[in-house]
Amino acid sequence: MPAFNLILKPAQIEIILKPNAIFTQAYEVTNNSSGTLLLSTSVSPWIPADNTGTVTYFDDPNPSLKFSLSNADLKLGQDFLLNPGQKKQLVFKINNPSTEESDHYLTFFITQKPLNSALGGHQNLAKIGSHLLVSTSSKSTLTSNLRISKFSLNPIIKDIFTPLKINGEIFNNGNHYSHIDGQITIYKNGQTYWQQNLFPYTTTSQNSRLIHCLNFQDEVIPCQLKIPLWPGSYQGTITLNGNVSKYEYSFQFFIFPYSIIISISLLFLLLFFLLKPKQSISSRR
Amino acid sequence: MKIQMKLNLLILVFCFWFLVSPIKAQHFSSPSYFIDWGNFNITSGRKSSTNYQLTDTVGQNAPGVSEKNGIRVKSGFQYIYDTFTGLSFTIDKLNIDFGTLTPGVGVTDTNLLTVTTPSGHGYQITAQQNHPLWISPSLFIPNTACDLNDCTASFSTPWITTNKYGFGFNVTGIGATAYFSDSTYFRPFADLSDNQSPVIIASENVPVKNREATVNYRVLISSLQAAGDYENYITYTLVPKY
Repeated sequence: MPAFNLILKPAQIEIILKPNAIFTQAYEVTNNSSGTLLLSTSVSPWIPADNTGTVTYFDDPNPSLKFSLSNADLKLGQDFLLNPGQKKQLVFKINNPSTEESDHYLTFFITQKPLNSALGGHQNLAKIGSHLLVSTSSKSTLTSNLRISKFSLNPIIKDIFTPLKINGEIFNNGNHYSHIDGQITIYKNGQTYWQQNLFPYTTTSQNSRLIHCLNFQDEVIPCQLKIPLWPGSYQGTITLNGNVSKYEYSFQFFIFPYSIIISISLLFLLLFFLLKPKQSISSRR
Repeated sequence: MKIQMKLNLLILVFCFWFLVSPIKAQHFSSPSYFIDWGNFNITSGRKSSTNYQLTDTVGQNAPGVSEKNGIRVKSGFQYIYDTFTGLSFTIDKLNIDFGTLTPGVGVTDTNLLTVTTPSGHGYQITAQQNHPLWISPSLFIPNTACDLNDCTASFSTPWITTNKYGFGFNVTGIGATAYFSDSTYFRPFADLSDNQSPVIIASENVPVKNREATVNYRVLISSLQAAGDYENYITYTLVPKY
């Protein structure tokens, strides 16, 4: 059995917290390690680091939200033991004492501590965290304001035998985090040629996420049109279903049978050069 | 007055019988118990064959995914499987013992980190050492600067020579390729004693199951290194991608 194996559920929660409201979330932590673990809890704020969901932590000495554990035997930051195979429910409480409208991005951490103080100087340690995305607002429903940015189609030369990848970012211009809810539709001759739902990433306020598609197994896949593509003009639309209004981004592209034309041209050239000397030899005779 | 009351009662009875539509729920009874269910799930579960996987719920009222105003409802038992997977982090061993070091001979050891993430989330693993390998703050093995003195806690470069002393690490695995080009690329750990923040050593944007990353530690000392027990500890942090 491994020296450290911890499972934390859920991995992320997203809530809207009204002024003076209290939210309670039960976390389940399971120790599947070979030995007893000494653990502690904490909360750290983060900011998005890029457009892929990576986070960067920072210190916030005066958080506007108040955090605590409702467990009778445990306070936030207090050490506790978890035996091998044991599960523990941690009832985490968030209190919003302010009326400020803003977003708070945090991680609820379970941190391992050295069980034996003699090992404290050289025993590797581990932390595992679950994200909390909290919008503080007096409203129950927050307006999403997602937009397409940095859109591109690859490759630039669009051939019938080259898969076409749809790239781009979805930027959240709103004041609160929002889920991507939409689809990409490609039309040819006015009829739907291809349609795929966008992966419902959470996009934090004033930040963007890369566009990815969702397959039938609820998995992330690149948004890509499979080959062969029929030559001609195509129209595309990316629809983002906001909770107030629908946003549409339109684009178009042209598929040309470059590879076939180049292949035929090369064949003709080859035949031309192969036949030309023979003709000249025969004409000399 | 009595006629009025009777009339009201008659209207109530009429409304009850003719205007209220019956609830088509499941009703079970025994001499001791009544059980009323909103729906009757006949079967549900997870099935698979070589090429297909199926999760289903039979008997559920209005099964499926519904969505409005950003709120998604997944109705049916098959969606419970999404909630079974938590964020899981495994480290094979917590004590790394390099044994007795010989000057000019690089000594290595490994740690295997294993990650499972729930549906819809990638992961990032960061690492940080509390301080360099040391006996005391003045007696330490330096953090590696790699062969060309150009690697940092956030930038890996080759470290294969035996005359560039220090302590560093490399990570191999699918999630680490963006941070370490190959197994010859090393870097020092982010150093808490130098106020350095933890640095990402492996990450992926898609959900993973039992994804492994191997941390290869390397320590190389000069003949001038003082004898003694040099110690530090590394903290590995796993969080999902939001």
